[in-house]
Order: sequence, then structure tokens, then C-alpha cells
Amino acid sequence: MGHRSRPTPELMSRLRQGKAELHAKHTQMSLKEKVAMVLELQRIYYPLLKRKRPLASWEHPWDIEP
Amino acid sequence: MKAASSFLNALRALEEIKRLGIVEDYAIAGAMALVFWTEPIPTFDLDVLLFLAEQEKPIVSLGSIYQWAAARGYPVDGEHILVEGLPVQFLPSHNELADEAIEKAATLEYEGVAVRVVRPEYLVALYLEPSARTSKRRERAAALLEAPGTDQSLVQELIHRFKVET
Repeated sequence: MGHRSRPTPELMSRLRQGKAELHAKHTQMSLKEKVAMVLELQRIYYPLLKRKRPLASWEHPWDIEP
Repeated sequence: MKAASSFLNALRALEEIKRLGIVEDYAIAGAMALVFWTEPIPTFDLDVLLFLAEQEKPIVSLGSIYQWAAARGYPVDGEHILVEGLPVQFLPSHNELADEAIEKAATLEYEGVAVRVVRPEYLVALYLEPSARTSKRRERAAALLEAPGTDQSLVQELIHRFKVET
């Protein structure tokens, strides 16, 4: 096996901190923004889930306003 | 003209079933409850825990909910009722933990509409119930445990009192 360069602990720490900050930002969004995010996640998740297994008739993105 | 379907209108419909006395009380549970406490996750339905209004028969019937849905023109799709475009699963309280989750639910506000939501500590306990425990639900419980507002000591107390984690 060849030698692979590795990230420094400082870089890993910064990356993890960035991820934690993103989660915290999502948690602090307004309720309306969070519902809008669920609708967006549905649109992303739906085609992936559809490829994985047969879906029930109710499993589809909601055609609604937040 | 009929108002466009919206999450807000679905919440108004939930308040209506309480106001009309069809249910004694209700509380949003499941993945949509997480929206109120932590980071949103993808989900395709809305779980609503409820106490039905007093019934004469010992076995709970969702008949009154279905009658209300038919009167409002909400279609039924298997075990879901499409309330304002949202597939809603109405779940009668199945044990004392669920009873307490409804009784102690928080009354929050979404765009000016009151909404009852199961508190995060009770959501964790419900996710850890043996009959409901899946890897997905354990992940949700973990996310709620990390949420800043979750009372860790209450979680431990519920887990112990309702013997939900083995």
C-alpha cells in the first residue's frame, strides 16, 4: 500500500465544527423554514427511495405550501 | 375559491377535530414533531396521537374521525387520511406512555395557529418502545437527545418509569 496523505487533526476538527454549526443553524430556523425544508427534503428523497423499494400510495412529496 | 393546501390548513383541521369534540386531545408525534424541536428530516406523513372522545364500546373506533373526514371531503388512502394534501395517520393512544405524551404535550404556535406537539423527551421514550424500535427511530431518538432543549433527566426518568429500553 502506498503512503496516503492524511488531514491534520486541526482540519478534521474544523470540518466537524462546521458540520455541527450547520446542524445548529437548521435547528434554529423558523418553523415555517423548517417545514419548507421538509418539503425540499421530500423532493430529494423521493426518487432515491423509489429506486430502493416499492412505495405506498401516500409516500410522495406533498403538494402544499409550508 | 378553496384555499390552497398548506401545512397551516392541516394544523387548523387538527384544531377543528378538538374543537368539535371528535377528539379529547391530540398531539403531533413522529418525524414531523422533530421539526418543532430539532433539525428537519424527510418524512411523507404526519402522525397524530390522540384521545378519542368517550365511546361506549371498549374497543376504540376511528369511525368518528372517518365521518369527519368524509364530511370535509378528505380522501382516505389505506391507513391515512389526506388532510389538506397531507397523509395523516391518526393513532389512538396505545398505552400509558402515549397517554402521558398527549397530556404533557406542548401547545406551540405555527403562523398564529395553536398546535399540540409531543415534547422531545416523550418522543425519545416513544421511539425507544420495543414495539416501535427500528434503526431509523433510534437515530431520531439520538437527534432529539442532542437537541439543546431536551431535558436529559426527564428522558432517563421516562425510560426507567415506562421500562422502554432494555
